[in-house]
Amino acid sequence: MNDSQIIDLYWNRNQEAIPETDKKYGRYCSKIAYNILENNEDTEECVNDTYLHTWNAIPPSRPEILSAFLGKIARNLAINMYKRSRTEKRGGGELPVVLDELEEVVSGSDSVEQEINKKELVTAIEGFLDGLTKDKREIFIKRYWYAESVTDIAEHYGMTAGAVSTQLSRMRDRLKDYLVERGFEL
Amino acid sequence: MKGEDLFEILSEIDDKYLQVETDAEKPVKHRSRWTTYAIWAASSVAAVLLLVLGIRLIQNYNTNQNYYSASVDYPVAAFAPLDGNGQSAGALNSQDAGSVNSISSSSLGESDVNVASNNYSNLGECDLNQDSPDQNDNGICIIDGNNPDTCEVAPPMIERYGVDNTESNTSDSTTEADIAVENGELLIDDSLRMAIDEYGESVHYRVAIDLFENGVQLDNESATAEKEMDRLASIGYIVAVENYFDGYVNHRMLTIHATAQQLLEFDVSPELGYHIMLYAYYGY
Repeated sequence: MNDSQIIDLYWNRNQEAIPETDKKYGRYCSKIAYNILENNEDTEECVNDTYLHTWNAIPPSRPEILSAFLGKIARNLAINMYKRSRTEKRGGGELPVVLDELEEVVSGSDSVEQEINKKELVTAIEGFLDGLTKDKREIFIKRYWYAESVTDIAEHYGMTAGAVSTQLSRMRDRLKDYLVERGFEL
Repeated sequence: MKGEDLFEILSEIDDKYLQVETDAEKPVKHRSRWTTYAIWAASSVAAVLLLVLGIRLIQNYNTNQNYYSASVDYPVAAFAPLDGNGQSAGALNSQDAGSVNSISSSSLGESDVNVASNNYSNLGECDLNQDSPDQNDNGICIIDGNNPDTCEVAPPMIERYGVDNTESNTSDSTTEADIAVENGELLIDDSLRMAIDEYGESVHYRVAIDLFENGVQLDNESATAEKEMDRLASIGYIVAVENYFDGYVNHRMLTIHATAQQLLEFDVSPELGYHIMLYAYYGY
């Protein structure tokens, strides 16, 4: 079943939409959630919540790219679950390392004097991504959006983990300079 | 701002950036519950089979260990003698030999290896995993295919010692032609004596015997030789007449399978002389 047909099921309030979504994107959502949560039970719960949120969001939404739509929901839910689990001293895995890396781009301080316009920041980040080559952009997204491990990324591209880490480090530096040049004091 | 905040903000980027090739996008293949059960069942069966196979391999390894240790410890370790059908006759011991051995003249020369009337039905059984005090540590375990959990223990039988008898038979450099044994005398070959000194009762000995009458070696096919072999069989020795064809000549050999005690306390007839040597004395 293609994405359009699945979306039609949601619009028709046909409950088959959930199992069809799970059949096609269950693993995708699970991977996103697991990379953040590193916990099977939490991942399963997160994926189930993703389907519920999708059911509530479609309609009125009609996503152009269903996978991205589902992935964003799964990611946001996983982040929230990660925050809760962190206060309960649970979880861990790859995400803390990813967040540590992103700390290099930002100040790391809670007291930000400048109110950040999130929408503008997102647009700036998208501009930065547009300036990257396809491979580098994908590596960046895999690491900082999907929270994939450096080892997995290296395996996917036939590179060494060290080479991937080096590329990520340079991209972080470039992102920081790029944002600072555009007036973002993060 | 913290790294976590930036990570969250990244969630807002346009969907087009998220379309990277990832293994996670492959459709999930769901297994049915019965498929899962079948996989578990198959795995369990395979594990059990591997376990059984491993146990059998260990048992075979132990069996081979017995064989190899015998081979290493002794110059030549033969299995228990074969009967006329090529079947293993099993263990030899003095009790069995004393009760069952006989030889008839009519059977002599009729088969290449003619071990007379060996009845080994009273062989004891041993558990492979038991270290029974009755079991000869040097014995060879022969697995019975119909009853693989048990084995019959046959002491190794030697027919050769380290000395090369084909070149130098005796310590005083006498040749076979020089040997003349007077009536009532017993000459035990040096290599046989050394073998007995070293291994004693732990093995059985396959020996060849030359008979002499008034200092002259008897023809092995003679009536006197047959009669003497009958006598030896009747008093408890396991005797055999073996024919060996070397491509030119048929050699008729009088042989005895005996313990060390049976050889050292050999019942000598006053009318004959005896030269006893390990079977390989002749180089066969």
